[in-house]
Amino acid sequence: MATRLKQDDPRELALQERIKAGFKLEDETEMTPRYRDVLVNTMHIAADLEVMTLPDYSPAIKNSPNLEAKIAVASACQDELGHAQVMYRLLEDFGYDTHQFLFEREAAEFRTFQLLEFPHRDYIETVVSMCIGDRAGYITTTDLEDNCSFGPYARSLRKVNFEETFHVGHGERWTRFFWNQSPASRQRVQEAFDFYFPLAAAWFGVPDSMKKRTDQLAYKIRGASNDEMRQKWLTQVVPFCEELGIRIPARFDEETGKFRLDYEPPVYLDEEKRVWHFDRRITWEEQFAIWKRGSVFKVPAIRRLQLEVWGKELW
Amino acid sequence: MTTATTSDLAPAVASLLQDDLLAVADTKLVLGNWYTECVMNGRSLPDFATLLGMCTASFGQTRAIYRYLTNFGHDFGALERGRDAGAIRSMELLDEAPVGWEDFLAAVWLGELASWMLLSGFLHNPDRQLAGLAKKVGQESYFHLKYTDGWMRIIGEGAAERATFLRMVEKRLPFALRWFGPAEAADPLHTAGQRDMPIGKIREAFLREIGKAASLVGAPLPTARPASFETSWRPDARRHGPIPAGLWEVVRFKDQELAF
Amino acid sequence: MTENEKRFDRKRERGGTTPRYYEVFARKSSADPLTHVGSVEAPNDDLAQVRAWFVYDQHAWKEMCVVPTDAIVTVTEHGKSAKIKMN
Repeated sequence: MATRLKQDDPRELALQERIKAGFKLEDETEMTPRYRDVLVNTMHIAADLEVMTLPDYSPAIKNSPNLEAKIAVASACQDELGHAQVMYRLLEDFGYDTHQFLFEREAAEFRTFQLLEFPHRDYIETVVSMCIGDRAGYITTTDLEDNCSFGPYARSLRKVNFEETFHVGHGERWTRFFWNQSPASRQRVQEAFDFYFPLAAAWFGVPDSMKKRTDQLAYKIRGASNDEMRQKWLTQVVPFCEELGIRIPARFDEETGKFRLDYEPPVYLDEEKRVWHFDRRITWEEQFAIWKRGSVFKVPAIRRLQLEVWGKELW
Repeated sequence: MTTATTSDLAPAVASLLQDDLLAVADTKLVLGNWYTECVMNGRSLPDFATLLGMCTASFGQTRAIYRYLTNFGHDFGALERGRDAGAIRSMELLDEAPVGWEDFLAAVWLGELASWMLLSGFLHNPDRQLAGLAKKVGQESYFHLKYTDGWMRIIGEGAAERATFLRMVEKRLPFALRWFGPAEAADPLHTAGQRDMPIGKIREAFLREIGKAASLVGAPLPTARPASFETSWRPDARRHGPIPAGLWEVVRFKDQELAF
Repeated sequence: MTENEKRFDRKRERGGTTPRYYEVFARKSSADPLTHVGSVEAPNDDLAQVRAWFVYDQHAWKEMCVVPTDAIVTVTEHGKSAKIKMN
């Protein structure tokens, strides 16, 4: 094992300079230990997130109202699991054993985001998640495709992003449809936004002002900061919601010329009732602990992939 | 060149043709639900995507056949959501939930193969739309059957797994065979020029295909006994009675007020 | 209750003690070059074909084939760990 280099080690700085000048890495032998850590860490989280879509989205296949909807969810899920395969395959070149990682790892060790830790109960939750959650994912993966200094990862994301555009488009189209279908379906769309909007806004992580480590940017693993990506997401989501009349806790701020959230994260989520208490701020330490612990569904959802369930348990 | 259409058919022939197509469509609907229910039992990361792909394709095939049936005056929404458990015509083979991975593969293999064999009888149907539909399903079935082929190879390499698999095939095969109906000499759909060959021949071809799997599994496959039929046999549905309540609960569309 | 930990036979299910890979190549139309589109793990050719088909289904490919990664001999990448890379 190579000695860990500090970020200000001359070799690390030299690599950062080359990357800044447009150098793309193609192979592990070109990496410094720190670069490798940051890259692998980024790909690892992305791969775990893709896997999490199976237990998160697939219950909606069963609960869909018709064939069209079943096909849409199953096909989106198929895409996501294909993306997981692409990403874990890249990780295997860095010594990861996908099989061991998927089937033998402690479920609590999976590095997922809260957005994907509440299995969808019905098709409306799925389309709203596609509309705002897949969109958040798409913003991060297109940033990686456009900027990532590790060539194989950037290239592998072409397929991923190509398919994600369909999910976002599907989510937007059917959110619009259910918003207009009936008062009851409109109410359900609103409820789904009430719950999922803050989860999706949190996808981009802590505000830039809190972020001490900027290795991802220094090594150009990605190009945009957390706040920049969140702003990009708000730029798309807020006008869409305003056009339809969907109420969300965010708006355009004339003073700053930017979109902003109406609340200051982190705030308390009553997971059981799925209600956000925007006036009840929690500390970042508490928020990190909540993220680390995962929702009450996280471990059982991942465990389901590691277990076999047959016979009378199925039907 | 003119193409025959459904409106040219004698009512009795049209009715038999619809029966067969609905039996395939409903079987695919149930197969799609099998994949949905079992995907998380998948045994490798690429298999998750593969099983979901087979799930998507199965539902797509159901949708395509229901759409085709609208040519006979059926309402798509009524076919899709307007029928109860008693009206669903899926293969009896798929009634009982799989008890393990080998059983899952045995059932899916037999279900995919039998439904494809039946539909392959329409590959040269005078209605080019139906022939095209059969061809499309065939292209997809090729991959579904390749999946079970690949797994049969793996199973064939383990003595215990092979024994389990053969036992499950033995249990499921009579139901698959029964799907082709009683062995009658005449097949009115063949006589009317709608089916490329008599259904008895298709059943024989199905059994030959089963036999060929011996080279994958590394052991002879169980031979099927002649199928038995009770008085509750529904020739139009190719099954006895309604699908079980538990399976219906899985298959029925939920949240129907959202349907579009 | 039939709910158990999945148990695997790595040798049979993965084609050996280490995973066995296939590289996937495809073209969209006769005018397009056959391009490397990705990689799948499979213990036999049948599963490699079908897994490739369902994982890399982003286009209605006119042609797709898989090659065991072991069979690939690199020309320019001598001494490097990655034998073949995305696209």
